[in-house]
Amino acid sequence: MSADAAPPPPLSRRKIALATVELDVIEGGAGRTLMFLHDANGVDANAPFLTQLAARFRVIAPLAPGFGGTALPAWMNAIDDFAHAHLELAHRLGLDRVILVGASIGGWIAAEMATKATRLIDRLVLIGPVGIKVGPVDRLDVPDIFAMPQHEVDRLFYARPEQGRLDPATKSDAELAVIAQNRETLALVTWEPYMHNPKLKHRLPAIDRPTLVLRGAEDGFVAPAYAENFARLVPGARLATIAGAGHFPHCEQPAALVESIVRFADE
Amino acid sequence: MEFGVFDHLDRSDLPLRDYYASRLALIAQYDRAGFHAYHVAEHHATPLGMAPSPSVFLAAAAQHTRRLRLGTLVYALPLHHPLRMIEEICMLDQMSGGRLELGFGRGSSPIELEYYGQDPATAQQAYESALDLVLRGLAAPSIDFAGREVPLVLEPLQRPHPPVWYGVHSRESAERAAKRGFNIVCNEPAAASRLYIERFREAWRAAQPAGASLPRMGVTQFVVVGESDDNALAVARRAYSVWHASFHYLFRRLGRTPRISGGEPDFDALHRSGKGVAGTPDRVRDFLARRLDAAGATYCINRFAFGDLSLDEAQRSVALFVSEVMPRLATQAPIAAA
Repeated sequence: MSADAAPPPPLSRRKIALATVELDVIEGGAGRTLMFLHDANGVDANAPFLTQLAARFRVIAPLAPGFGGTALPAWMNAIDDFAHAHLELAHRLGLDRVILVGASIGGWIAAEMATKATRLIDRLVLIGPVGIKVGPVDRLDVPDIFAMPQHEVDRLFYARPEQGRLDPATKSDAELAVIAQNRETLALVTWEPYMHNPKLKHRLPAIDRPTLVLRGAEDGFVAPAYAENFARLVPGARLATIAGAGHFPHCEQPAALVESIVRFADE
Repeated sequence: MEFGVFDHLDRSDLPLRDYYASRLALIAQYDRAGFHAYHVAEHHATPLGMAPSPSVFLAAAAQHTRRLRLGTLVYALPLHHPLRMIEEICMLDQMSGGRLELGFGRGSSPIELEYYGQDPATAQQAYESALDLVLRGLAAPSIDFAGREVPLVLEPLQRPHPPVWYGVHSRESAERAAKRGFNIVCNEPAAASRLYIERFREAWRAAQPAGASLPRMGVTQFVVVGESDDNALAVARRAYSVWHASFHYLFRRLGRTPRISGGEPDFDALHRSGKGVAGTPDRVRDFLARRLDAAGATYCINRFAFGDLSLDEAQRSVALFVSEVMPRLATQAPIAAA
């Protein structure tokens, strides 16, 4: 019988008031503090990878404004705004030595945060991060998901596209409203310049905390070269691959993903 | 946005036994639909309140529901012995599996207070000292009362006590509620509600530790949803006149005027003052979207059942609300600051 046989208590969701915005924050678990920044699909308190992380860490997963049914103030329209809000959240919660983990645009937000406040962070884990452009000016570094039909996007994102595919018939109207809002917010903050901050590649080299870049082996959105370039920009950063996963390894291979994070955190 | 229900449990034309049974059936529907909480008022000696013992009614409601949270809005504290209040709260919270939400007030009707031998002039003071006693008692193994140390052998499931609610009627009371970290409810038109909610937010930021959870800030309104505007309005007008008569029953009986809001003589006047809507799902959604946004509320509390609305009328209204209105307000959330 394993020592931790009792199921961990579920993560809870509550509102925290910052100076000019109210954030919904999912929280649970105990141990070292791990802040998780979600991808464009938002995050659910019951997600397996999150509950597995909460078994090992104190997990704090804020919802970026405009995702998960939360309000997007009219003045917020960029990834950088989310970075500021999450830094303010960390300050208000009195967080220190945070293991900052972000997936996709969450990884971009985490990278931006790390360039502004390295002292908050113990170590950085970027899962399929976007946010830089290192290729030629006349070609996109990552595919334009706004200009292709959904089934092609699914093929880029998922190792097994049929598993990732959204079937609207299985969702309630309330869930669909949230999904539609997520897409709207994503378009707002990543449209132009497409999926990057031109300045980020000039700031990443200032990060002085241990950094791990994780990429799903079948990720068709963030190519191997893109992830390598990202890792190369952060001094001492390592790159690792999660087999059997696409752009969302935390969803497709939660146990392997959590294990990678745990091992990196224990180094 | 979160959604809840407020209920005076005011008398309809049904025999009392059938009345309670039909209300419990409606509450079971709220539970299935995923409303956050059901809040019941306390009134005495008037058809306005068929739950003079909110604890008795919520105990029954707890057995008919699984997820729906259950609360009082509010317990009239001067009418309850503080020790018995502590005991009932512990029982209710345990037996509901920790779903209790505690609203406390000083009692809105001076006539009801007088019937119980309480002086309305000292009700605010009685409320404040009883509140402190009850909240301390819920978290302690004993309490000093009337010169004796009374052992408290029960405890609530939610520690240190269930969430606390307050009905706000002024900026000062909003500020007091913020300092104590209470959830708040306003039933004023949007502009007035906004003033209280903004004051609450300001006072909250100043008073509460940085990582504390922001309480819920709700507004209440009468809501009737129908297949057509005419149909919904006809039902709402009819039922509201019954509710209105119940609301004024004691005051009329004794020839006095009510101090607090409830003055709109008919449903159309209520709608014009922004405190109620009857119509198609689109009309109801538009009204609520504007009211919630204007007030800056995070919690939308609806009175679906009132007056002589039949169980069938109420259930159809609620079903339309759940399928057509709630999903379209799902992504609405208040923007805190300008």
